[in-house]
Amino acid sequence: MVITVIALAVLASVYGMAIFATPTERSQGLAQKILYIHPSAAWASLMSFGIVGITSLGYLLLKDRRLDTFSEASAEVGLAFGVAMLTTGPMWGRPVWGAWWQWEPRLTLTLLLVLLFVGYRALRTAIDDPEERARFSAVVGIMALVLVPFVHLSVYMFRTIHPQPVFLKPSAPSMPWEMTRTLLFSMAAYTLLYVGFVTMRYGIGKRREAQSA
Amino acid sequence: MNETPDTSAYMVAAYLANAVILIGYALSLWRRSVRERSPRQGD
Amino acid sequence: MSPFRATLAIAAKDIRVELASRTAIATAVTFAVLVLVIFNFARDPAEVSLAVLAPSVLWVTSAFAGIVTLNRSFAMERERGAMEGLLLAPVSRSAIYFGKYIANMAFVLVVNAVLLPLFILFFNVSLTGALGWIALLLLLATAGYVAVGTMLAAMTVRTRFSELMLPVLLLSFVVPPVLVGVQATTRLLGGRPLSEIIGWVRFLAVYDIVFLVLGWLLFPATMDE
Repeated sequence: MVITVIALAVLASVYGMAIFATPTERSQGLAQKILYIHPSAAWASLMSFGIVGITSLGYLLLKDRRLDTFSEASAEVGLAFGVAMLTTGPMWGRPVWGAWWQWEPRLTLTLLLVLLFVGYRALRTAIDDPEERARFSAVVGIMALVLVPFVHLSVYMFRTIHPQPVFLKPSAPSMPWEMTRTLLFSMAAYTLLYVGFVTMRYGIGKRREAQSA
Repeated sequence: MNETPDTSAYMVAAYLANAVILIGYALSLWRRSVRERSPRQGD
Repeated sequence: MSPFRATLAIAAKDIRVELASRTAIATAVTFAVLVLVIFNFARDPAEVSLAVLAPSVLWVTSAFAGIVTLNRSFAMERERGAMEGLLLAPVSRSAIYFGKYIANMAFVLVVNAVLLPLFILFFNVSLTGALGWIALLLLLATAGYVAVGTMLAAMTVRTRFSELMLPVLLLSFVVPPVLVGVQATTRLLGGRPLSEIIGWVRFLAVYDIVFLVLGWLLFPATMDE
């Protein structure tokens, strides 16, 4: 709870920094500033789903119920970030690409992952036995992680028009430091927000478990 | 040189939508935490 | 019983039961034909030529028919309470997985074998030279998503709304093989050189191997301990 409140305050300062302390890009105009919140939501969402894969594998190996409760929490938080990502993305794409949506690798992958985790949630609600629910959803969580490279590769045949990630490139950074700084700060804020959200959601799962036991 | 297009409406909409989603989710978590912590009525 | 013989015994059991009634395959074939018909009428002949639409129709129909068939995979055990018997039998969980996999593959391939000639007939495509390659692509793509579907069906059959749950989970896994299949088929029908599709064939083969190994490792978790 405390972490979430702090993270939301940090997010507010990300907003302030992006709007007032970062230069406006010339060819895209102010819409470019969406790129200080959209990639961070994508990062947080994919990280949440990735962690579900890891804790799912952990559950099958160790059979520790806490790992299942954590997987459930991380999957739901990932969906919340996924909704933020899928909402802000088209609002950038419309003025810059001229289209709300493009069927290119990253967009297709993230959309499929969000849909798969909607299915993951549906599966959880459709099973009554907690032990069986934990085992079945762990299998799906691991399979989702394995699916990622295949989706990405298979869609890659289409020309990629999504902006390439600006970090981790050997060439000179393609963005001025003021912009990079804001994006890094934003990603840190979303990571903190993930920690806050997942802690709260894990607590809810724990209490629910204690009540039903 | 091309002039910088006015795309501010998209930015405002995206920033607002983003805030509504994330704060909304935080509130939903908070509400669920409070409800489940208090003892259930009737038992 | 050796694991290999147990696998074959389980596959043979499913195939024998299906041969006795022929309900699942007959229903899936009917379903596939209906999808083909609907696709044909969903097309405006003046706007979209058959050749442009044909590869997508073939792959979407094949995938949907496959999912319908997989929905039946564990339903029989469920309805007649035979799962406990299968689990008590002195066979490994992996033997159950591969046995079920072989039976499912047989059913889906029969449906595809009926679908392909009907597709050529309805959509008036000439496949000279490409038929073998398209059949190979269908085989490889099917092998991949049936590996996933067999695993998912074992779980979804024990949930509420199981007939809906399987497609919701499986369709994301069907996307990569179907995408690759449509691309490769378009090139084959367009008379492009084979070197352009070798990469796709390899992609499908890797997908098959990865998900078969994953099924072998994870399937025990879908059965009662």
